[in-house]
Amino acid sequence: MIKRCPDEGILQAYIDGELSREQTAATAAHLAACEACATALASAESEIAFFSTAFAPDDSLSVPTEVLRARINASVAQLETSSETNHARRHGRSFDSLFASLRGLFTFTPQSAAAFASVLALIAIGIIYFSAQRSQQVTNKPENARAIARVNPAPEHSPEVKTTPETVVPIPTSTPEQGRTGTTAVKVNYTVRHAANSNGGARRTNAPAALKEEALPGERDYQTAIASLEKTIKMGGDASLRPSLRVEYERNIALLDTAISQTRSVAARNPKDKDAVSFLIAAYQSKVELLTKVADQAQVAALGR
Amino acid sequence: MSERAVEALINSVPETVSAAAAAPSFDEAFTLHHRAVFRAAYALVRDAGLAEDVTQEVFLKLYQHMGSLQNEEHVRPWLLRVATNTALNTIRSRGRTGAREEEFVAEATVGGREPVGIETDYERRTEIEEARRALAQIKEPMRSCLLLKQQGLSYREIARALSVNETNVGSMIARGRKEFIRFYGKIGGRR
Repeated sequence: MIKRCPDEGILQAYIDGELSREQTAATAAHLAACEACATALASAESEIAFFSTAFAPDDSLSVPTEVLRARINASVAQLETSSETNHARRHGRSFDSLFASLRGLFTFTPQSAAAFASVLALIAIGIIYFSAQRSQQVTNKPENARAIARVNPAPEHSPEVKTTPETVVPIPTSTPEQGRTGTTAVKVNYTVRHAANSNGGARRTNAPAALKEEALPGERDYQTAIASLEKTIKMGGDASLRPSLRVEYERNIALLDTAISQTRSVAARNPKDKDAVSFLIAAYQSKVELLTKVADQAQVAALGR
Repeated sequence: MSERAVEALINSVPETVSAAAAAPSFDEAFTLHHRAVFRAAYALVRDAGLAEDVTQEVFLKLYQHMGSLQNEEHVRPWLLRVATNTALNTIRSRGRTGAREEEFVAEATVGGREPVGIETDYERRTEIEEARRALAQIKEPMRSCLLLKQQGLSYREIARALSVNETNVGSMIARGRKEFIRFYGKIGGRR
């Protein structure tokens, strides 16, 4: 038995079961013999109960496991892509905010993807029609890539033109480490942002002599971006997307690509047609956004495995 | 604790070598410990949204330091320590806790789990508000000791998380609890 009365810390530890076996036995023996300490113990226990009651509503809060998992997976994916992008970054520009905004643009569900595709297809058909009309009146003049590149690709929903994504020509700003999964999405965004925000003229000068197939200003950056994203998605494997989403995604992409290739031919014929060109740019932007979303899903799924 | 101190803490990851318990994967670590991390964070910040923010930040840091944590046994204490420091930094950066009491109370009561009568709701709201005001007046580290204990952390975990001596944790909890009773009695005119 302890001769001296235990202090409040020992009593607390006794209540909490944090004392060693010997200390516990000694304290119990003392409490049995010391009325003052027994009273103190009872008082402490009632205070503890009171404290617990006061916070019962707060402490019964359930842990939002799925929310936390999703948030953490997303932030890890973003971290991965950011760190990769940091390597690819030139001119000290940050794409983080852009990436975040892209992430927020789409909640990738079959419904939204289908609606998205429908809107794009409608716009594409409209543009094709008007461009075709105009092309009959306008004489083709030599292309001025720089002038066209200044067209502001603002619209959010537009169809998409896709050319050969596989024929990726390294952009002056890209890094050697092309193939890595995490990196690709980031790099893409960085590239896209460049294309969208810059005038594009200076960078265009590095492009090889314009072929009819790939001469549209800004297009190459988007193609690079799209190819990278597609590679990311591919590397995620078939299991990275739920089958229903994958089917929906592939159908929409196919639909878009058809509309896009038609639109693109119009834009290529009439490079002075600002509507067609800006539509084309916006379309690329849209496709990149869609792919980014899918790539995110794939990465998140891959991390979850 | 300053940002630098937190960084130092992160960098001082236990230098473990024992292969007894291999490091868990990031996913396993999340599954095993996210509840403890969230609850510890919530205990300190008293706000579900902020606790989510803290938890996300903590696991992001874990992700970045997975290579350094070679032993399963170190993961949980590390997580709790980073969670506690991040939460305390969050509280500081959001200004004095007392200034946010009204907001806390509003958030805590708006999302009540089940519909309750107006009077019951009012009473509960008042009680939570008073309890939180009392809590906000308890000095550190007693406050954190008390709250982390309330969330089921052991004395050792609390000591590691708050960088205090384990033998003092019991008395800090007791003192924190007494302060709470005193402030709560003053605020609510009880006891």
